[in-house]
Amino acid sequence: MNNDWFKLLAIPIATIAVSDEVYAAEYLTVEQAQKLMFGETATFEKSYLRLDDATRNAIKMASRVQVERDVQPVWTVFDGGELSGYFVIDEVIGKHRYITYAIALSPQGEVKQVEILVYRESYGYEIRNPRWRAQFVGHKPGAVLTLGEEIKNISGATLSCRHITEGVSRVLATYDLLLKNP
Amino acid sequence: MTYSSKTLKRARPLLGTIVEIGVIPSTTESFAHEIIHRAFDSIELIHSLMSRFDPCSEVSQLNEMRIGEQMGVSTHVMRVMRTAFDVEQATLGAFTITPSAPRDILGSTALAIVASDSIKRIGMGSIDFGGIAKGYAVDEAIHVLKSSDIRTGYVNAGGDVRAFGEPHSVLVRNPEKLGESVVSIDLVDRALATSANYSIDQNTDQSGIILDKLEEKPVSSRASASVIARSCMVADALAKAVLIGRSKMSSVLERYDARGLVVQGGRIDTYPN
Repeated sequence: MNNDWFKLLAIPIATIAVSDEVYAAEYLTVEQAQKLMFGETATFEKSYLRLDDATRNAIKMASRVQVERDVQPVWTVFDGGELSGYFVIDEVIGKHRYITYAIALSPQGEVKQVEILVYRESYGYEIRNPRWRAQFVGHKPGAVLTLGEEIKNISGATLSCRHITEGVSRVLATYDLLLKNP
Repeated sequence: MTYSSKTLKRARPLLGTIVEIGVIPSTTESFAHEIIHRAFDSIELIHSLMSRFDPCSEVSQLNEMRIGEQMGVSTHVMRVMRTAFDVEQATLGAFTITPSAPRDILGSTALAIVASDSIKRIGMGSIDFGGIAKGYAVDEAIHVLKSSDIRTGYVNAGGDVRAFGEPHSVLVRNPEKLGESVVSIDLVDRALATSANYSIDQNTDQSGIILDKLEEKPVSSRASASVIARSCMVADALAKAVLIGRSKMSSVLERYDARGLVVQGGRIDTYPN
């Protein structure tokens, strides 16, 4: 290795990025996420679940997560005439701004996959060292995801990841109340 | 970042953070997506083996063993264990996977490697791969990408990042002003990991006091240490040691062909210096 590669560092700090500039990483469109999660041949029927006060309360009771929205878009997925699962787009606040993500549920309401679609944050690189990891795959509705329990807490999580964990809990409770055995 | 618009990026919530994988497809986009999917799978596998809180993980089973018992472990756990013991010895315990166990001159008093695939409990104290498993998971995902004919790619697990192929720029934050970054580093076939001790009043995700095992006092606040190394596992493990040991870690960094930088008090110090 070239030993000089590190010497270009200026010793006094010169700030090179200004705070509060919004950074948006766009990973997948809705259509791309649908195909990646359910395959090229799947078909998607979009519907809007109306969440009235009573439903929001019931979701909150079941998931222990506050429900802000009154409409939840959900796609029912079919493949070869069979129910293949559900595709849900959801948003949670990250550290400061919204993260849009997609959840793929099996017909039985198990989490198959979680993909970030758009990650928006104030500019700056994520360099902290959170020490916990989330397990979403295989979570069944009815299970409340909480840090240190089903979602294993190693020693602290980023707010972004914690809020997605809560979002997944909320969506699973929504499935239980409104999608299971329709 | 320095990539062209051709870079395919995906992100999933994993390892307690947002894990981003980016590649420049070598053939079709759908093939690249499939490779990224496999790379995420490899990260999930490492989690399932090394989570301290999942009772089924190998790490949990190691923690359940009684003194005198031994068990066979996967090559993944063995690799991390060997590196962890190695770094622990080199850093005189500034990095350790057994924070609650006393150390002696031979290293860990809790566990010992007794065969190429077997670990024995020799004393009390639970192990925690929290300071090294994330880096190893990044390395494994990189391995999946590289062995699949991808020529340029990176994996970023909340700041534990490794890149190969074209240079990948990363920004290191100012620990004293979280919206700001203080230096940009172009990674070329290298990994970078950061250990930080941010203060609570800045509404951070976590702050935590990192105890200085060499000096037996908490590390002064609002400092961060980044380490650039060939593997993300080593960068991850050494970052915490450099945050604690600073210049005392210079020879260790040299031994691992690594470089460290500490950001604190309006300056950047680099090691070996």
